[in-house]
Amino acid sequence: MPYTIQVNGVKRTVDVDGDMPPLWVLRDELDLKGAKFGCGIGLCGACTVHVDGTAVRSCSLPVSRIGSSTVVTIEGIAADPVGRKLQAAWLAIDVPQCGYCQAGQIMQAADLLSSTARPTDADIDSAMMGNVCRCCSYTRIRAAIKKAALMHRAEAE
Amino acid sequence: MNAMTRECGRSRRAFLKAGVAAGGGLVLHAMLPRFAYAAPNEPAYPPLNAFIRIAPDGIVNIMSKNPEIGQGIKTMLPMVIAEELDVAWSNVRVEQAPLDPAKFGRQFAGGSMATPLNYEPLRRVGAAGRLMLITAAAQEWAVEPSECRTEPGFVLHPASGRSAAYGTLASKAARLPVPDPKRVPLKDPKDFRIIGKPIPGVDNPKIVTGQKLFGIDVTMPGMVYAVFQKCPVFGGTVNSANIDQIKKQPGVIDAFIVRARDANPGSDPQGASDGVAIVAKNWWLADRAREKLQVSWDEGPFATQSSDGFAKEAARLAQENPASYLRRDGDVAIALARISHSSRRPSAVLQFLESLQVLTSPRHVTGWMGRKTDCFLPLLHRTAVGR
Repeated sequence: MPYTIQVNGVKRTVDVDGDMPPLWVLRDELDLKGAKFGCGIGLCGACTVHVDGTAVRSCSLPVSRIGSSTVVTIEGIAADPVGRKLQAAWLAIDVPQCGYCQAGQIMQAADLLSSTARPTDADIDSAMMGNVCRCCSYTRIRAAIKKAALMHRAEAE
Repeated sequence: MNAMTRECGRSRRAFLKAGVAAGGGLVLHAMLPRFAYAAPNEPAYPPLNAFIRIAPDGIVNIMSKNPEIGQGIKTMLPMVIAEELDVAWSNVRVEQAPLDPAKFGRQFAGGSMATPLNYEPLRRVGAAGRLMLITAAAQEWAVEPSECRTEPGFVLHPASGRSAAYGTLASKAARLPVPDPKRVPLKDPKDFRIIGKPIPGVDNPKIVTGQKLFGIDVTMPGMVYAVFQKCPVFGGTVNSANIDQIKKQPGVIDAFIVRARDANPGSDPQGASDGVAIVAKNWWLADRAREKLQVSWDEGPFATQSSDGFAKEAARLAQENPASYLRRDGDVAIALARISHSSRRPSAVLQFLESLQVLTSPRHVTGWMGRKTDCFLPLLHRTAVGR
């Protein structure tokens, strides 16, 4: 049946089964390939997107649950000042290796920074522990999150 | 791991041998075919060789030949070419080469051999391109090539103060004979501007903005999606499956048993596998239909193997003399016998868990079936997956 969801600020209508997870709506119906399919059961974090500003695993909920909530993906995170800082920090620190998990990492980090302006190592490890990186880029991810937080605080002052 | 090391060692010899066979042109003779690669929608200017195309505006397109799996090779190999070609890295655009070892030399990831195998050959690829540009400029100015030198992106003739941008020379240079790679001059490493400098990954901007990059992001017009259910045991075959019921599931276009073992007899666990393919209008519907799939498997000769069985067999083999020695220093039995008190004799059992080198990205392939079938997939080797 038709579902209208708001993705990256644009209303999009898709005709799919209500059980279809947003991951597959985004990737195969809307051609937004940024969110990645890793495990399909919410264990790897590669599919992370924001629903009403909160990081969720887009593989593990039905699209019928989205309703009037706003969905933001890696393709749209630059519209968020924190997201833009994270992208800049990711480039400055040369975080990605193979890169497959990094969209999910950035989306999860944006959720963290939206509530925690000065994340400690423990804050970062706790918030990011559900986002696995097969290349083990974790130390650079941590550095990039701190750099983005610093950039964001500098702008706020 | 031993098997891989042997494979790489053999590959390296084969790589060099192929070059010698090419008439003293070393590897490069084989690596410098003319007009070798034409990507779809490629601009109509000729490449200098299989790796290098220079546009009239000076933008340099460099092919990166090996699979990128997070080791950074897609960035690193073009750096080597760009260094000797003598261009500014900011003007370089990197393109992933298709799988074509006849044009690009061996293309694989595994064994940490890419730099030793490719460093000098790719320096010579770049240097040969630079020499062709110098020769083109020298001909135009009616001077000796030896009187010319380069600065990034330019050929200079210091005696007359003339200079020409690579982009203006590239078409003429592409029509010149390819120089003998063995004789092209290489830079003194102290003059390196790119090699040895920290250069960010070329795909980083795409990665942090979620643009299409990976094999799983490939789409084709009108494409359909399939899942393939293999036997849980390596080498198993299909007796029967509820194909008719699967075909009635929502969105399913077709379902069929694949008898791969008929084409791949024997018990090679790495060979093609029997299984059931379910084709649907999107991947999620195909996967959901798989939940209804019921297969009667003939699990074959490996059905009785288990982790416990492996551990027991390893313990048994450890009691025997080694089948072969990788290295022998002294005599362990004599050394242990010299330790007077048995309680001081060191004793330990060391075990490795069986572990798969799996990636976060699931195995996948996109095929475009025309008169021939083009496949888009992440490859480590011809038989394994990467980005």
